[in-house]
Amino acid sequence: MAIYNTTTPSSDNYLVIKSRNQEKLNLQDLSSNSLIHIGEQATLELVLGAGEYTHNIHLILTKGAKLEILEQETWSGTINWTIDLIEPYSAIKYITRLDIQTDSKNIIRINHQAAYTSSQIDSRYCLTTSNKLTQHTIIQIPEAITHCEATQSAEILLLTDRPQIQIIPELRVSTDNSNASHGVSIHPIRDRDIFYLMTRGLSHRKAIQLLKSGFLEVK
Amino acid sequence: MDRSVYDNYSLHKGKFQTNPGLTREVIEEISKQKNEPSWMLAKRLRAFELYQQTPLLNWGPSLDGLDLEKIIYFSRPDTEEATTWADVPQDIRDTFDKLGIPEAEKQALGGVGAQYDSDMVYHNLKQDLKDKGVIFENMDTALQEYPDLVQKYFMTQCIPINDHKFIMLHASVWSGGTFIYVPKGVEVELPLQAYFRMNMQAGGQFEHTLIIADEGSKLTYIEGCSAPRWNASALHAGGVEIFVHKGAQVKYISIENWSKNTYNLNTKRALVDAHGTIEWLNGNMGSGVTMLYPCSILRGEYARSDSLGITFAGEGQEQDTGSKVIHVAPYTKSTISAKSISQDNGVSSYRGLVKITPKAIGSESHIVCDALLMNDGAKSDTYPVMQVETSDAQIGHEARVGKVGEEEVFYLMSRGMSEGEARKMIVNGFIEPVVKALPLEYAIELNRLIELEITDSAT
Repeated sequence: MAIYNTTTPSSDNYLVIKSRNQEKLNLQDLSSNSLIHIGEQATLELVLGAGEYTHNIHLILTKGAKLEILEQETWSGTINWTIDLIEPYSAIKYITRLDIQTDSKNIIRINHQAAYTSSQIDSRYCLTTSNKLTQHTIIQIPEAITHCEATQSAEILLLTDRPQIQIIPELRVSTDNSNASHGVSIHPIRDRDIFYLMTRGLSHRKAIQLLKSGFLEVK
Repeated sequence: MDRSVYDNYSLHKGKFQTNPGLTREVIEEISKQKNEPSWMLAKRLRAFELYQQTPLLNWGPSLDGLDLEKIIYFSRPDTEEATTWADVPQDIRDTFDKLGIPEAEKQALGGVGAQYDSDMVYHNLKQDLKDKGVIFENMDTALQEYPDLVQKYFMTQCIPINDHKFIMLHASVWSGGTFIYVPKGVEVELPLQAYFRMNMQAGGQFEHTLIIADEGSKLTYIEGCSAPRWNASALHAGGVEIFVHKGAQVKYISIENWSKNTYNLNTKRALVDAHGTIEWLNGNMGSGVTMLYPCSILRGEYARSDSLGITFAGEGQEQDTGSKVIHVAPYTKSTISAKSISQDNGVSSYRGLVKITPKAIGSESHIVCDALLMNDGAKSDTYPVMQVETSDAQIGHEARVGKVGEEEVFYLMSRGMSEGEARKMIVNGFIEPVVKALPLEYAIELNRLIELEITDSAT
């Protein structure tokens, strides 16, 4: 068995992904206070399904471990992620493609604790309701941790008159031999794109739907 | 370039100074010495009450080294304000001569104010600007001569006295500073400048700058600041309020080069009416700790704010700077460009806020933060916050943290430069957008200051 559960004093649930295994987990299946250890060269795909969360998830990535978090279904509540890249060549990719329907707060802390680690946060949100979206990302690269790559991007499409968005992309970098960047773009849907599709025979509603689905597609 | 220009102190003995620490009696004494109207004393005392009730900030750089009980909150130089440099006492004049202020006034400025510790010692405005109705006075004089105007604008709607802990302190003990009023439609072609010099050991400087640009007017205002290096920590907690009325344009430039044991906890804010423009240009080189986030509140349609900042954090310095823009009215625009250089164990942080409120439809904001790390151990943090509450808004934000490229250094060295020269040239290129926006003589000064910091560290 590639995954086994145990209990630690600090978390309700302690999971270990054994070395060189590939696993897929759903966040609904984890307890609200979980610690996951990803062994050497192992790969974990973690999927956030629809639901209500008040979760604290701590992930530890060892040498060459890969973590991919995929967020595609609307959820409500608060999730606190702590992702520690403790050994070289570990990598995290966090992909979000969400049509926001409920209030959600996502706090993602990524700690690069070893050289040659990489992190990528790639978020796209559509806001069609006035629900509150909060995304707070914190990427830390301490002194002497070299050759790291950290990128975060967030693009938000505004389709409601009363959006409530708070985006805080923090970078804390103490080394000169790593690259870190972030970018955010918040904008409404472009009239010319809607017009183009309407000239091809689509109704206004269908045109917006098509643009939304294209925007949220995972490439 | 010689750093001693900034670090040397004068032995000028002031005519009055309060004991270290802040009490109600100190505030009453300041107000009495300045012969202020009763409403100003009441405002100071209310601010002091708030200050006592408010805890220190629980975010940002550490203020542990700042002993507020040891600060001397008020110190008057032994002179009256002069309108010719010849009337300024020799030892004070020498300080400003070394800083090049009288020479700059002759060549390129429309008016100059110079503050030494708590009081202005020199103020002068060109006659043609006086004839156009421009008022350029020291803040204490303005309070006596234009009480209605000051009462209407001073720490009311732009920076209220309860804004935060250090503004409460500022409102309690403010002294000196600049008051500028530009009448409707008047364009002040040559910049006005004020220079603030803190000479006293364990001193505090709390100057207040109030700028009112009436409808359709235009102004460029420059502030320079420096202090000598003493053993005890000093505190600068100034306040800058700018009112940009309909269609007016204000360019505010400040080069802050306080000594490295100064805590620079400054507050600057502009209220911008319809079609008005505020341009902030801030250079922060000195200070041990800086917390400075110029803020624009765009409250009229098509109001605009452009903010350009450069900070340098060297050994032992923590420069926590940024910019805030609150879009309150429709079709408002803002740009923020923040550049920072960190060296040795210096920490530079960008802390910013862009808020687009529900009424600010059609508003746009673009933010760029670039950080250059000169060595391992130097630190750069970014804390940008974006809040959007309207559907018809566009925000773009980008940030990059990186080092001086080895390939670029190698390329320049292969053209005959030393490594130090190559690095300096790359840094000069990095800060070029800021330098280009400065008047020529300040651009040269900024370039030299940064070169000096880099050279100091290399030697």
